[in-house]
Amino acid sequence: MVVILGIAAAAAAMWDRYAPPNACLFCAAPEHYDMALNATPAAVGTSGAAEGLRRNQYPAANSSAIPGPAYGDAAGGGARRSQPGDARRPWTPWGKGADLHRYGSSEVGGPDVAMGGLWRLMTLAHRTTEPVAASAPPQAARTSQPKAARPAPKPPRRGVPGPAAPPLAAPVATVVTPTNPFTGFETGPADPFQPPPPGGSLDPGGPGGSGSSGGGTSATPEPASLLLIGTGLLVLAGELRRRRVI
Amino acid sequence: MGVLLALALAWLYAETLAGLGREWLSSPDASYGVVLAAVAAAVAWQRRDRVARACAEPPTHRSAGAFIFGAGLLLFLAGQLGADVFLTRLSLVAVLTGTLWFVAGAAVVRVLAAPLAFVLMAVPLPALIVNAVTLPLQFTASQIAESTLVTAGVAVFRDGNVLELPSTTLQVAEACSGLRSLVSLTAIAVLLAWATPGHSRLARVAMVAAAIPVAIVMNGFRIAGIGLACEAWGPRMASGAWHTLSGWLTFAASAVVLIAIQRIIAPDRAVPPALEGAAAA
Repeated sequence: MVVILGIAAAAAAMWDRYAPPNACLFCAAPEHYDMALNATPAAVGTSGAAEGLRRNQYPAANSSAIPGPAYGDAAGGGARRSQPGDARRPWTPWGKGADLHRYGSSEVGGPDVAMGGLWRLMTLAHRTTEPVAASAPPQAARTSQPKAARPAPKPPRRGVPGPAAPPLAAPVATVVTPTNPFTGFETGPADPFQPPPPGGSLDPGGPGGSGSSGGGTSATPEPASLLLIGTGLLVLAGELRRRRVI
Repeated sequence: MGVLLALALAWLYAETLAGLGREWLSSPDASYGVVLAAVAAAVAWQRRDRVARACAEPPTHRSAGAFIFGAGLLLFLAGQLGADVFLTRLSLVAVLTGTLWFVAGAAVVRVLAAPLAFVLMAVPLPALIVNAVTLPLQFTASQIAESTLVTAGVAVFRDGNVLELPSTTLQVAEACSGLRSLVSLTAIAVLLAWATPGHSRLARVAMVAAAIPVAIVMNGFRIAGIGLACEAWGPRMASGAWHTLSGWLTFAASAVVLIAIQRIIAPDRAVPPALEGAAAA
């Protein structure tokens, strides 16, 4: 029992020392580690990498551009800025201290965990931008974002070993637009004053939804009421003639 | 005097009549109105001698005609102010009836009651009623089609108004709700009940009421038939000539079923005495 507890304590201590703060125990993807380990404080903002740097747990930040989201901005204005005392806040299993200790930047902790998918989307969005020349020095992504609101991170102390970062791919764009991942990719609403195309499903004089409606679904409209009542009149005429009414 | 009155009515309802004609000629949901208007004109023409005889009589109850005329004009005003074409079109029938009553008397209105009723039926249903009725009709037709397909041994999964078949997916859209066949078959039932007099009023009402379930059930059978055809010959059977033909055949079968029900409700009689004179006229 003592040995098991010791191993567990050692593993926890190792995790606390080497694991990036925004790496989740449950849903962490490899790119989380890569980005977190290689992120510049400016790119990562207050996501916890700066906190890690303050704690001297990471090597000197790679200056390669990492298209990482600035949590403090992208995750909403409510994201909590790191406080000096956060790094040393004791662990409490019931309160926010645990979340803050684990996830670093978010006041509730949850959004950072849920940012995994969004992080990937934003990474893809950045990588679709125009690449720079090979000789151009790589810069941090989101250079167009205002940095005045962010506190200048402390320069990392050198000489502290840390986990080796895998080599990154070619640097990506220097100027990234749009800066807000939630805008600029939207399709504008349809003009409500634009009339429907003639003969379309919304056209009152159109076929009334006949034909395929897409996706392999076939509509089953009735024939026009003119044809129907004409047919009925023929049947009715036959019946009345049989009865010698007409 | 009569000419001036006709010109005034034509001027008042010129736009309404033009819109009605456009909808009859353009909308497959309302095109039955052309046939009913033609039937109304034919019946009125057929009864022209009776109308002439009725006009020879002194008009009675002219105040009632004036009341209907005034009510029709108020209805027209309400339709114009409320931008409701249905009210405006409805007021056309009311104003026409009131004018005939006031000018020629109640006897003429009695003779022309059937054509006026056909004109009333030719007015397309308002969107309020269509929207309220369409969705329940869609669901009912989907349920009937699902039950029929299951009975026929076809695996089907219904999700609302969508029928998932092994070969294709059938969507019972608004145009497939059966409202067209319902309106058309009801009109046929009215014509049938009118053309076969000699029966009680209750029997005639039952004839017309029977058209509603017949149209709904037969529309479900039509959709089930399309599903069976898709399973047998492929999804292309859900569109094209077979699709149109199936709808046409289904409505013809509905009319035959309606006549069969009418024979049960009101057994066949010899020459109806009330219609004998009308047919001769």
